[in-house]
Amino acid sequence: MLLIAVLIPIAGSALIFSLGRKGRRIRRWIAITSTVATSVFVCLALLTEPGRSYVLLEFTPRMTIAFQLDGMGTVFAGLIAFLWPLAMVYAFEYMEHEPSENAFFGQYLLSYAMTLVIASSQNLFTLYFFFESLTLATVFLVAHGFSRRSVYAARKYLYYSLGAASLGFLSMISVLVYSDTTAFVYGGIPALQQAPHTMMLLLFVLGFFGFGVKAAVFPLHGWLPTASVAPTPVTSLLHAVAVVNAGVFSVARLAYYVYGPTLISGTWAQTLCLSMAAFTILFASARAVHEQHLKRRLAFSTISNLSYMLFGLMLLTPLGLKAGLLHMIFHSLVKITLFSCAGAIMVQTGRQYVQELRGLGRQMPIVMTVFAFCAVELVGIPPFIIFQSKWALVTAGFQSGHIVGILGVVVLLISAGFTAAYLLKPAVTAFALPLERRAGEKRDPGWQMRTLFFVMVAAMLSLVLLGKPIADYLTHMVGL
Amino acid sequence: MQGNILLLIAVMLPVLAAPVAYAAGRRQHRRALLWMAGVSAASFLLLSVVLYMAVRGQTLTFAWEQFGVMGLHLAADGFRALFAWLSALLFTGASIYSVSYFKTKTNVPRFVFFTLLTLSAVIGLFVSDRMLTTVMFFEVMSLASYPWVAHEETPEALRAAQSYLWIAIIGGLCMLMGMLLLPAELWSLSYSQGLPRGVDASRLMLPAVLMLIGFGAKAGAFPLHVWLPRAYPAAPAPAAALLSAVLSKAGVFGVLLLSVYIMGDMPAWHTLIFWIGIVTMLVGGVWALLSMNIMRVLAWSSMSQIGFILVGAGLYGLLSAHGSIAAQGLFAHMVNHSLFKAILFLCAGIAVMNVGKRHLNDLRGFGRGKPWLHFAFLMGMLGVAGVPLWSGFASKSMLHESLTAYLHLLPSGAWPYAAAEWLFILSGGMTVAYMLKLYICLFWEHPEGKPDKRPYAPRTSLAVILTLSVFPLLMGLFPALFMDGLSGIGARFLLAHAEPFAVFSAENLLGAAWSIAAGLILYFVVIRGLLSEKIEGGRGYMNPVPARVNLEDIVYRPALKALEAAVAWFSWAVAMLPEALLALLRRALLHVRAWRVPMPGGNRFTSALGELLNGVAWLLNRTVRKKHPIDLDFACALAATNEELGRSMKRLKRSLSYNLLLFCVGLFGLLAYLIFV
Repeated sequence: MLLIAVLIPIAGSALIFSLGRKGRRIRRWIAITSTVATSVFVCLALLTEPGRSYVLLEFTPRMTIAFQLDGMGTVFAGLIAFLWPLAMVYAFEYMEHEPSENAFFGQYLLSYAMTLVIASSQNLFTLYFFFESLTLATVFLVAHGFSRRSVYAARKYLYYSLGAASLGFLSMISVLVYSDTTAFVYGGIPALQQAPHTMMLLLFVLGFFGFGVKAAVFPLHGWLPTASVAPTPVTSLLHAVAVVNAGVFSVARLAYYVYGPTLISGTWAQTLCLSMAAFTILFASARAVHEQHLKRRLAFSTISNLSYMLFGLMLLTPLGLKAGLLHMIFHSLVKITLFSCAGAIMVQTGRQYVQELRGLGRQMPIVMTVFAFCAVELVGIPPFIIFQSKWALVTAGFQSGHIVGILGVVVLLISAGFTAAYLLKPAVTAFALPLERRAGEKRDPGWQMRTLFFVMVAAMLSLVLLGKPIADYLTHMVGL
Repeated sequence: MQGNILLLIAVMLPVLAAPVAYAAGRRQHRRALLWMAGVSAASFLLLSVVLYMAVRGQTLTFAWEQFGVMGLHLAADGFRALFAWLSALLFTGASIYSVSYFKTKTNVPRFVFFTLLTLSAVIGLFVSDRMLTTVMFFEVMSLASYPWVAHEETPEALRAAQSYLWIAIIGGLCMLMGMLLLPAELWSLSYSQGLPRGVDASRLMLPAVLMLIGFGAKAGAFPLHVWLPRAYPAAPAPAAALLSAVLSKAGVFGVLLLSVYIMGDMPAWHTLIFWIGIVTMLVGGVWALLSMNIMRVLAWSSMSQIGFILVGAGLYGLLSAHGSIAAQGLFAHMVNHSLFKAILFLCAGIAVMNVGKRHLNDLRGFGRGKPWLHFAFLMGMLGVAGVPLWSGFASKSMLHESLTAYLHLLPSGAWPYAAAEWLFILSGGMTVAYMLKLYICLFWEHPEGKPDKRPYAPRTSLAVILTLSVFPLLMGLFPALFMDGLSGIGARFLLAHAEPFAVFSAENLLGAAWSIAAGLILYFVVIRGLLSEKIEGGRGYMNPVPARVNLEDIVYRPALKALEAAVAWFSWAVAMLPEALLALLRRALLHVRAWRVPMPGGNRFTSALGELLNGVAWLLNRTVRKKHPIDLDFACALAATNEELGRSMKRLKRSLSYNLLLFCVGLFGLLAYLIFV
């Protein structure tokens, strides 16, 4: 089932590439059918056969490409299965304004397949393999349009990803050296517990930064703001949801399923990684306040929120894992909506800078209301969902007993203040200040973009009530 | 979900009706306002039922564990049910009043939407049973009332709204931080269960202070009151009435929760609250004396009265076992003040609506010939001023008596508290003075031009105001009935027991006499003497203090700007670090020559020396030779010299005389060798 789910988007992508320039309608039909079918199959796979593993390819008995949907994979796969069709519909309307739709949709579908495989990988080798291929699948999406800035952004993305993935490679190879298998085991691969301790810690830290480059931890965050020159469907889905969550997911796998909390907990490695995550939270929020370009501001916000997740994960307690994953889910929802709003604004009015948002609430009421709602969410106002995940992070931080964990709580709250400054302020001025009308600007976007908005807002509102069951599922999953 | 669903409906009804009211009002504004009034009235009826049951001794509760993070817990005992009911009552009154107030205004559906949202949050806040629920409703209320302040969308309104929002957000974040620092067992503390036992008191001070920042800012306590004097005048009159009468009490409710349930045993805390109250009282009173804008006077007055309530809260804690009078006093004053301010703001709203301006000099004599308005305003004024036979007298006397009771408990050397008592009386006097200022200006001065004989307010609005204004007199004439009734309802929540209180005793009357005397002196000496002057047609009021002298502009905004600048620098510096590292690596690993290419004619030595001398010259230019800077580029000069030198050397070496010289030197050498060796 899962194999079918992975193969459909690859097939769809191949079909689209073979289509060439003709037939927007056919292309769209292929794209949306593939996406929806994949999502359906993913859901079926989640429901019917959790925990079953398939081996696709065997390079050697120890290095295999294998899939398995365990608890964490279920969460990630379910999230992207929900979000990709919506983003696809949004992209239909958005890409009417951009050239070379064909290549775009082909690659968009391909990256869906890659992300799914990352979510459902059964061992570290598979994870690494498709981690690299995700980079390759998405780099041309960043370079879309091939303007100077896009090419520069794509190069930066490529260098960062490949350069740092080499660190991940080191980590993976070391796992192969010291143990028989790279298959994920909750609590850590047993053979690694016997390996030389310092070596393991060092390799874990290398792996953290290697896989963490996609999770934009300081100092390897530089590619994400630059990559916001990409078309908005790319930034919103990939660079706010799929690619970066793949980074967070990989770090979680590394920490909890490969090296294991018992190995790393209480050591300098944990302190280092926690401190980096906490620092990134603060730094990225502070940087976002001064960023005037809307998409770059949202990119810094993403960096900050990713480090919330990394912070939760690096507490190395079950509560921390739960909190990190919860924030991953909820933040993805909010961020994809925020970026979609930014994209709608750019496409309808061409305004890219935060000062230009003043008064826009009169011209684009739906978009700006959704933006304001997401801003209120992201600050962490109870009872909305981001408050729920931040609460989980804070309780996990306190309970961990680690000094950085407790300091991290203060960092979280200061960062919430910054979030109010950089998100709530434009949201409020969009309605409070007068509008400077320009010629040729359009009003609210069409039904395709609005579908995304309404579904997202409905999801966010209903999760206020339904957030508890998700949190409970995660609690159960981490074995509490 | 378990418990009585009536509570949930009472809380959720306005927020669910809000989108409906908004949609209904898109075409015709009046419909939205009618919806608002109707929904508020429905809430009021529901809460009347709740209150009735609470008075009967049956506390309704409701719990919904699946909601949000830690569930939603509501409970309506006497105190809480009364305040929820009172809030709904005042919202209903303000809504009916709004139907005519908003006739010529824009953006009415937006106002209605957010008012209903605020109503839900306020009701939810007052009937909340757990700390997290309280905080949640408090945050929603703060944000939902922002559009009230920004409604008019004038630059002043937007600036006031900006202050309001920032203080709400910062206060909210401090509140959350405080709540997180509380010991975990306090999160699930139900207020109906009373005090927890066995909690380490020393850990509580920091979280409680943080939460005080959040709650106190909303209540208007010094020093976070800075949003009050801008926000109240900027908001439409019914919204200002609700801000003062209801939302400030929400802040006080939070402070009471802290004082009673969390910090019950700590005298240091109660002393803090007491002194914050004293300062708030005074600051509000002084600025009210000085202000010229009617809404701003009432705003400062609200702050001052909240100060009285906080004094009572502090005394209640300090008196602990004997503090029931303080508890009763502050509770009664909360109720009374809500009524008074509602009346006063709505009356002021009528004046402003008709004249179109808020300055006292423009409103002179508006009330002449308007008996109903006169009566209503008089009732409100006499209530606030604490004149005997009006309800304010009872509550202020209770507060005064608790202060004197505390003074008896203290050793004789405690002069700050003796001074506090005089400050209390002085504040009472200031209240009399500035209310008298408003009253005389509105109703006894002579207006410019001929008085307008047209109807100045629709009958519904007047009816609302008059209904409310009956109560100060009624409750003041039969204090035993009302005060004891109130105490009976509310005392249990404050963990006090109701004690009978002799309202018309000699000490109380004497205290009131002192206050009123002080007030009259203040009025005649300060206001009439110093702050006003006779101009043609009447009296012109003036404020000697310039407008830019206020805490916000002098302290808070510069501090925030400095913080912002520091953060900007920090993030720039940190952002530069990876870039700098990369540049360094590139230079090191890729052998990028960083040395300056020597100039034509120069070599390594001249360029190095030249750079050195350039550096020295730059330093000297910055320090010693600022007036006459050295203008020379030494690298170029040295290179030129070097080239010159090289050329001349070449020429020299080719010249005959040089070669002849060398020949002679060689000859001499040869001769010397032959002679000496």
